Amino acid sequence: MNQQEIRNYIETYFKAFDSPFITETPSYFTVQLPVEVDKDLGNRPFYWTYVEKIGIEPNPLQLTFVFEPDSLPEGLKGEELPYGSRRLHQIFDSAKKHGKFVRLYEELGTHNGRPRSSFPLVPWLGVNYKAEFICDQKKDMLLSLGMNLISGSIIADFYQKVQSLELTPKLPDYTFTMQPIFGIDSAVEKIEGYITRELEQHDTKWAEYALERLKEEKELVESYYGEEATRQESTEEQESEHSEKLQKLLVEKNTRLQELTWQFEPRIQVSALNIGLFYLQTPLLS
Amino acid sequence: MNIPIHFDREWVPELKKRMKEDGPWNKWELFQLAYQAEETSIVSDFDELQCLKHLPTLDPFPHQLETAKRVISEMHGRAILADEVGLGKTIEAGLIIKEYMVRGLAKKILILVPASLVVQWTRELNQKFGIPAVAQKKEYMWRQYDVVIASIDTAKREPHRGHVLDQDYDILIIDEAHKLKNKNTVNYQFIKEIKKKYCLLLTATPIQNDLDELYNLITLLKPGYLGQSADFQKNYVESKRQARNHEVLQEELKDIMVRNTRNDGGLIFTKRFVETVPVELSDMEWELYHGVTNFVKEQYQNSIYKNPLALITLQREVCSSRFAAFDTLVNMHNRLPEDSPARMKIVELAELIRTIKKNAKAEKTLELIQSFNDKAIIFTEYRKTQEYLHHYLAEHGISSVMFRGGFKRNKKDWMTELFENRAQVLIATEAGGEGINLQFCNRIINFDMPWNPMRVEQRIGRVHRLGQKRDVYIYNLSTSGTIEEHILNLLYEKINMFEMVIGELDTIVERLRLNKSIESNLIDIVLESDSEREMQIKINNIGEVIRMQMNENNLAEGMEQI
Repeated sequence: MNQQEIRNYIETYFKAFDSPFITETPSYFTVQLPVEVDKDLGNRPFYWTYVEKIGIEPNPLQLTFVFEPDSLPEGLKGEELPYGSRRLHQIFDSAKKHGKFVRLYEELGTHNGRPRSSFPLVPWLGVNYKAEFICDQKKDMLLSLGMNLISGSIIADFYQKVQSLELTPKLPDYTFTMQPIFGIDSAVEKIEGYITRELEQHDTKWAEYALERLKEEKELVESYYGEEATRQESTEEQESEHSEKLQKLLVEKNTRLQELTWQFEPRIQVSALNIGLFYLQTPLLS
Repeated sequence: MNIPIHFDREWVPELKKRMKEDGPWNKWELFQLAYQAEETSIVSDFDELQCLKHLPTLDPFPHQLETAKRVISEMHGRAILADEVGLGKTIEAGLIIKEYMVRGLAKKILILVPASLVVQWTRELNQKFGIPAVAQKKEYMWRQYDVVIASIDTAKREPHRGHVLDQDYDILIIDEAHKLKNKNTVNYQFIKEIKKKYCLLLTATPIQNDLDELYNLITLLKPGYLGQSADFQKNYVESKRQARNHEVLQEELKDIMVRNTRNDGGLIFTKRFVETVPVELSDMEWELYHGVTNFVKEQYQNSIYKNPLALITLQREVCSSRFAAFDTLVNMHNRLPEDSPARMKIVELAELIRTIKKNAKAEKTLELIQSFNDKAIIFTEYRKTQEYLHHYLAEHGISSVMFRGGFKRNKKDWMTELFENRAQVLIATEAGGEGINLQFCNRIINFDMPWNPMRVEQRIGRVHRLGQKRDVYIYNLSTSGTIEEHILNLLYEKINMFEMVIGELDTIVERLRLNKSIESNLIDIVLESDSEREMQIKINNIGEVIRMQMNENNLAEGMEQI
């Protein structure tokens, strides 16, 4: 993300919260945080606990973000937002927290004036997933899937497809929503089945390599502790002391083996970023 | 092949609840922003380093990036980082931590360093890498914070030990890991018990004394990697300090240890030129020097003044400037009983200071600066000298900024910027600490000399480091016939310290434990010698001893070559 993209991003963010902009210039802007944003960005949890406990009027912060530090008015202080900065991450996290569940309806185009009768809208479940391929290294992949809750068909790149539609949170006039045939649970099951099949098509070399690595490393550990144990036997010692030492070695070995599994074992973790119920008129095709 | 797939379904009941209760629903804009945030932060490749995108102000050297990459892709996150001193092992470790964090592979991180380095590590990780590391101070911090920095000596003791051993650490980092060479020590056993996924051992001297130590370090990372201890002895150890099968061992080490050296291509340090600039004191200044020297000796021998350190300070101050000595004299005066004869002496000396108008050293300094007409850093140990020089230079049309160790970070940055853009000279009372970037300047004037060689090296290290593009010039002012001259002789002629490669001195000072000893030896000599001649001989003797030790040490160095 470059500075312009970052600026667009956070301006959209603050507008989504109806935060009043106090000053806005090409080199910086100052914004009044609404309460819920202050809680995410203000870094003052104690203040908020206090305000809520006592029940006093809260006093949310104003923040100034700077995009051209060289052309700031004298005496003005603000934050720069390079990619990777903690503040930008807070904003990302806040967006994720407040952008998790939506229910949206497709607006009808104005087909030569008003439609003559009510239009049905088809319910879809849309989920944006992140798949993480994890061994000692990791890569991610985003998957956006939507399922038509009437027909049961699943399409990929659902999010990209609905983005071109006109969507509104209120049921538009002259429309009604159709009763879904598939419930949420069975929809989730079907979508997960779809993802599983999709992932099985994926290149598995990384996992094979990691498993091989895991096996080799485990063998090294086994042989090391095997020999350590034998070495213990050759020294003359009290029986109890001897078995105590062996016990200690065994514990240590198991720790090492667990660490290796933790480090190398290949696995895929799939989690949902955000989820929406979409009532659409436009038919979507895969 | 079947790779286990795990689906997170926590959202399902949450969605149903909202459907049932008709909300609350989030805004479409925020839904889109959430997706966009994820889209920009996902990593779609196993190997390519991502952390630089998150570190816009960091400008690492190619060898540091290469090291981070190798440790992650080829060594699977368990490695010994054994760069020579001065090549930035901390930066490499920071890059690796950041990369694992950005990729979501590490959250819980433990960094064990010598107590004296805790603050520095904390600052570097926070400032250079934006990693929220905290220095462990209270017991609850072990669990409350994800990235904790502590000393082994604290961590191994209860109640801390219990907390550390109870948790799983995504990354364990141990700085100065050569201290763990002996597997029978409590520290070694403790480290072995910590549960970790990735592990970095940092050391500049991985094979200090014998190969067993290297073996023990590797066993912490990968038990069995070099075979059993006995196999290892058989395969690689000729005698205690000699390796056999060099090439094979070297090959094996490649997969577990990174060692960048100054001689590797691309790591070019510029040359360092040292010049002693003799200064002749004026008659009045001589009178003061002798007056103070005699006073110090008398007071010490009569044991009237109980604090020899204050006397030493006075002796050193008078070598720097009369202003530095003046305050100490006044303080001494006020602490002495009213009828003390020493009081009279002090008043006499103070009177003398008042009448002196000339400062030979300052004149020489001005002459130097005018001759090269370039930026320079003047180091002095004393604030009074610093203030005087600031005025003196200003009188002669040379702009300077003052820099002190006690400055807050912001002020240090501001002063650095002023020096870079507006002033010709920076006058500093201490090396300024880590992270102050003064590489745009290549001339240092040591107005007075610290008695501790590490501090001299730290001064020089401010400008003579990776990134300095020009040769570095060091001017040591030496007042002929004074203790200063002898000390400079010791450091320069005998120990040859200015000629050493960057970082070499730390190693030697640490190995020979010179840090405290040189300074305290010098103090004893100054106080106990009856004559100038005796002092000179004794200082020469320390030089000889150190030189012998260094030569012996060089013999052991052979092992480092593998």
